[in-house]
Amino acid sequence: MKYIIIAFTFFTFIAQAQQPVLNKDIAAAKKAVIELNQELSQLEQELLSPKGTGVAFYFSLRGGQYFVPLAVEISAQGLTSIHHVYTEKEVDALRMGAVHPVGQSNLGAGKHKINIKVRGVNQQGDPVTLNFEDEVEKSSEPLKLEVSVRDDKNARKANAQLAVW
Amino acid sequence: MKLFSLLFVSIILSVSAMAEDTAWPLLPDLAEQLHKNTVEDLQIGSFYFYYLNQDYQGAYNHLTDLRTNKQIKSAVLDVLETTLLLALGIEGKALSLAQGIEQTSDSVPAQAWLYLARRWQVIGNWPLAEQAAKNAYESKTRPLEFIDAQEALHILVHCSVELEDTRSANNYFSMMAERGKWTDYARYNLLVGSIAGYASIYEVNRHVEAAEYFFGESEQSLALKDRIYLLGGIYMMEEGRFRNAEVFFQQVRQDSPFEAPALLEYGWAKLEQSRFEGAIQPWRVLQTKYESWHPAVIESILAVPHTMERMQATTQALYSYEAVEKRLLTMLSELNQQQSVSSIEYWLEQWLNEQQGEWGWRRHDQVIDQENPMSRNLMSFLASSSVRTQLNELYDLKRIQQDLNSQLAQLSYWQETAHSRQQYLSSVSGDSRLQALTKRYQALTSVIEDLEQQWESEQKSALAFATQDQKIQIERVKKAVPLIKGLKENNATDVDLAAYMERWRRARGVLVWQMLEERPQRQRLANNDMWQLRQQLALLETQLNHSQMALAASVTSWQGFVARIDESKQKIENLQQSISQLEQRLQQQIVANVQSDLQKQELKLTHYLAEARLALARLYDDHLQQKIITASVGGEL
Repeated sequence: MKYIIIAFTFFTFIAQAQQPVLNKDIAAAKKAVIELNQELSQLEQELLSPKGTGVAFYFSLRGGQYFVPLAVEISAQGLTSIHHVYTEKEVDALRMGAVHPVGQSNLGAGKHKINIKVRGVNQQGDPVTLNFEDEVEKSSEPLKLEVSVRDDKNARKANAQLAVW
Repeated sequence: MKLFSLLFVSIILSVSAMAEDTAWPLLPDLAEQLHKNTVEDLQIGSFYFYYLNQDYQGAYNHLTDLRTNKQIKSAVLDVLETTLLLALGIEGKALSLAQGIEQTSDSVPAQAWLYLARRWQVIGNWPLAEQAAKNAYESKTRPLEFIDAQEALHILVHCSVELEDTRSANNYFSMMAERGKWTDYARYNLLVGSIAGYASIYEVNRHVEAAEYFFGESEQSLALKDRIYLLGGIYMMEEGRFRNAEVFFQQVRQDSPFEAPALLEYGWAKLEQSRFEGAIQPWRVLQTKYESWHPAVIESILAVPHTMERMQATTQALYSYEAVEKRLLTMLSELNQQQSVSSIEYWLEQWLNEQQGEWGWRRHDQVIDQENPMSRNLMSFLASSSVRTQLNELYDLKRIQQDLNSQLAQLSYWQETAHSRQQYLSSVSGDSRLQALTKRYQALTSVIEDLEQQWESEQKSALAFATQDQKIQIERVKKAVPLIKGLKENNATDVDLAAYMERWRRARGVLVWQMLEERPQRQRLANNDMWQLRQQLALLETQLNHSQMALAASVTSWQGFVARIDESKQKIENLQQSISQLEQRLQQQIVANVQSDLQKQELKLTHYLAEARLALARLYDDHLQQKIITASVGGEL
């Protein structure tokens, strides 16, 4: 079967100022669906990760001149490894100051050694892995950990560090 | 005889060029607020990540977290929410929120105004669009970049044209750059305004010539130029300037979306100048290149025999009209069959099955099956934006229903998990186990307290930290004292007491010496052991506290979930019901619209058929009259 995609560049119309009632009803239903999705996502989050044990990992890129991230891997004892492979669009967003919420997990209270591997390429296009381990203490409060990769202009390379929020 | 298709009517509408993602320009402003190393940066940055990667639902979910942070200014959150709601297509709420920003915030960035102007423009609220664009252009809070300022001026020109304020439109246009994408659009809108405002031929000509000179070579500019030539040509035709019109139609590029109407009109322009052969040629090209159901093609198949008739090629015209009649009858019969509700509903179902993607912003482009006769007949109908919107809405509703079904199933799984989790928690009797552990901890603490006391008293003793052997030796030395004392009291002269006493003194001295020599090392070891014991006790206490916390969290975290899940399930079911009703209403509306379009097509074809039959009757009648005249002249001779 032959399909064609309708080319919509033909004419551009302006929508009517007065939307029919049905359209308004549909918009209201869509808003209700989006709000319900939000509620369900929150419920799921609470089911999966009780507040007391919740730990959220973030990834940020400051600069991005000396390092382009391709993937991040976070692991710790008693924690299922968290992986993420970055798309070009995501890297662009990171360069614009966005912070990637890599994932959420559960950690018991106490001290934990977190192992972080950030794979990427340097300014020459050569593969580079920023690998480090840091110790964090989990209390009864939710923990936010930010893996931050920053350009070091003097050394002409990027460094990774873990910030605890 | 001149017939205009729907396509030509639609071209009179003004152009409104919209950026692909209208929300984009707002965000760089917000980016300036990031990188201040606060937890707020982390939260706004995360929102930003979801938004830039078009995960609008994720961004919307994240917004709840942002709202709980009192450090983030509500104006910033309002801007973020407006951006998001517009991206999600929930315009009503977004616009009311945007109006709030407009009224209360003095520091709204110029780009935010531009963004609002775009949305008002899309909705067709010209006075508000004009006001917002003016604010965007004049705002001193982070003024617009050059390209954005040009867009603001284009919106101002467009709004003025729509509000029939030609003077303002020209005034805003004079503030624009000589060349550029937005100038091109503004020029087109001015042309539309001129035509709608009954401008002179000179004025229209001036706009078309300016487009020819100033427009760039980008595909966008060339397409706009084609459109201007077509519009200018139709205007010239209406004014009876056929030669000028012909020149404009000739300028429309081959294979451009405007080629078909341009070819049709080009033929008419030739015909109006009695250049018959020249008129037939573009129509032949049109019929060869385009589908038989294209409105321009349908009109041209009737135009060809009409031209032949005017050329006095009676026999050829007759055959052509007969072929046209046959063709129109087939098309009418097909149209007639397609008009039933059941066939439209069947077509709609097929169309919906062919669409892909999720609903809303994640919906894929519409696809149509060109081989399907109904889709083919509805090609022009499907090109209308209002129809596309309706079809998209119907697809969205169907898709939402599917999503809600899967969410309902997922919630049932969660409910089961919550039940089993609660049962497990009660079966492990964590509370009593923890109480027993706490008692053991307390017993251990008292033992350690005793040890502490012992250790402290040892510190004060002169012979502290003795080994087991040394303790035995100390006891022996202690026991020797009463024995020597007894011998002395009994005057045991046969025993050399002095030698015994000396030996005792020496043995005691060596023992004390040894113990004092080893004491620092032993004291250090004992201190270390004590310190480690204290540390272990502290760890034990922490672990106990954590276990208590974990138990409390595990119990509380699963409490009330079953009720919450039930509530969510109820909400989903209610939503499903209302969406199902909406779906039904929308489907009925679409079916009625399709039916109406097919009826219009039928009416148009019937009109063409009548024209063809009338021409046939006329030609036969002429031929008959001629025969009669010839026969009567022959009889007379």
